[in-house]
Amino acid sequence: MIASGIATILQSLHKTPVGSGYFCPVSGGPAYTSASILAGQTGGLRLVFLMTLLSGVFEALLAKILPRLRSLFPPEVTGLVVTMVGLELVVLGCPRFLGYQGTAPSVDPWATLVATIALAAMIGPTVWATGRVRLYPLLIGLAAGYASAFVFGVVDMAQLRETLGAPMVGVPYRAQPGWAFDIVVLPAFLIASLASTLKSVGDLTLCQKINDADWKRTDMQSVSGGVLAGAIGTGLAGILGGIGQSTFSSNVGLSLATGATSRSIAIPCGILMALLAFLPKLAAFVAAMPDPVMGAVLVYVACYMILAGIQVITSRMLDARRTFVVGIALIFGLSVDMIPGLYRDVPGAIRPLFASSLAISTVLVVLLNLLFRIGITQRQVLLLAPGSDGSQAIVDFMESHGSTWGARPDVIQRATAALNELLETVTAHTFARGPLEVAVSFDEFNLDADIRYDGKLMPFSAMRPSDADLLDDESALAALSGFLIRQYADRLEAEESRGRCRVRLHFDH
Amino acid sequence: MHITEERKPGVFILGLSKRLDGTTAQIVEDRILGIIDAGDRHLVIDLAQLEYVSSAGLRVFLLAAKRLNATNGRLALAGPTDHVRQVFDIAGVTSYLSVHASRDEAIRHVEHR
Repeated sequence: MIASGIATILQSLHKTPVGSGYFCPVSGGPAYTSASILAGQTGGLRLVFLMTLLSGVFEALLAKILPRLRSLFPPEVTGLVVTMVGLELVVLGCPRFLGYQGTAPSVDPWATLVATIALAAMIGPTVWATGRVRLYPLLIGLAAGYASAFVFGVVDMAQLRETLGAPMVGVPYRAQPGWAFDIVVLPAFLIASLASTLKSVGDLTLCQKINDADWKRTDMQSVSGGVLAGAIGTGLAGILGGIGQSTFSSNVGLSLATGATSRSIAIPCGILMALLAFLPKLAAFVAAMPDPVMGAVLVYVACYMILAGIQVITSRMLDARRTFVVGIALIFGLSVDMIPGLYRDVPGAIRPLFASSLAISTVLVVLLNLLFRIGITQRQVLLLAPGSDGSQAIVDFMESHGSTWGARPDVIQRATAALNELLETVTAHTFARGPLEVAVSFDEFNLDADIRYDGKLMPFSAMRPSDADLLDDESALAALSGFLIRQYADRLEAEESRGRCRVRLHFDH
Repeated sequence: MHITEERKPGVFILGLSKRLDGTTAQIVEDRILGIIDAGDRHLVIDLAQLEYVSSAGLRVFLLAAKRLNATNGRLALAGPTDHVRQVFDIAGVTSYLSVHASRDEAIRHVEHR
């Protein structure tokens, strides 16, 4: 808890080497559970703690190289990670929602009733309330959930007795002093660190998106700082006697749902998390949350996470490559939870990879994205004959390559409109004496079209011709076309030399 | 380009679909002028199915508006897609052309001048 609290505060630091600048709580990461169990069984808690400390160091190194790996994390990759984080909550939330204990009968009607009341109490203010009430759906849902849990007898009495018996104040202690090292479990922890890092990339991408209405792409510098904050938390956890830390996805979903995203929330949140380590009775009360209420919270949050991830995936044009990158990773990620035991015979060293749908899907989506980049060329050329109906050719060309490049649909649309206007005008007014050569190049920040033809340069007026001129003067139509092209592009350069014309259009991406 | 026509009491509704550009503008212009010459004065052009409009298409709308204004008639454009609306805004023609979000709104506009 202490490590989580400190890391949560560090996470919110803005414009510093450490921290993403966003409110994104950090807590014990599920990515480390499998590796920690393996280490515990192999060499006891001393081994767990040292490997956790080393994982923190490894994560810090990953954080440093992340900004150079921007091309590994296009929106379809980060979006899938966010979606899988949400889908993982289904596995955690639905059994609790329905009171499923792993034995027959599978559904407890009283637990389901309590969960439904709690969920309804959260959804109601979110959908219908106005003003400050919209910020507190979780508190309202928790209150309704706890109350109905007591009324309908859905309370774990043993855990309640433990809560009542816990001391009010206590000093936390490390379960076992000392350290131990065993190289056999090292791969498991490195994989867990990688999975945790990729999960953080997804969570922090979502934080960026919900805090910026004009979000276009992941800011890897901010993510790097955020992963470093998590790495410090993991290292601290190893020193203090905890497990590896990671960004707390459910809280990101809560921020999305409530709109409570201010980084200033992180400080009291982090302090409270650290204090819980010294207040065992309060910590026990929080931990004693009735399962159906927990289930309702997880279902509520999962709705936002899953849909937010899908929104990020579909914010770019998708072609066959991207469809398989996302689809294959999603399918095999889901197979972990849909077919329990499918990967039970996987060697222990790589078992953390198959321990959760999130781990396998994130690693797969990154690797597949790398693989399917083979054969993508960032520059394509189209030849257009004037007088022919090249407009469909332009549309097909831009849509096809825009999908391959994963470009933003609105930018491709503007570029397509500009090229169509240019072709139409040089044809209608016989500015071009031969074919047009259109070369289009793309990178994550720029889309450039370089058009060359023999003939006369068309006008690119900065002023719109008047309505009267448009109706009475044929040449004004060419002027309107040039004006439109200038508005579509973010930058335009045009030149004519010895009858050879060149028009360069730049679109910010 | 696919053109649909519908007549309601006092209003002629012309529906355009797909693309209004240099290759289709003349066809649409001829049809609109034919409607005006036949005596119709209240014209609604339904743009809900129009995917793309170029400068040539804009000129057709301006020409139609001018001809109808000269005869105390009225033109309204209805239900443009986001892209077509964006072209209108970029070209700055919304001050001269009457653009409405829906067909019913456009019909009410031309009827109640």
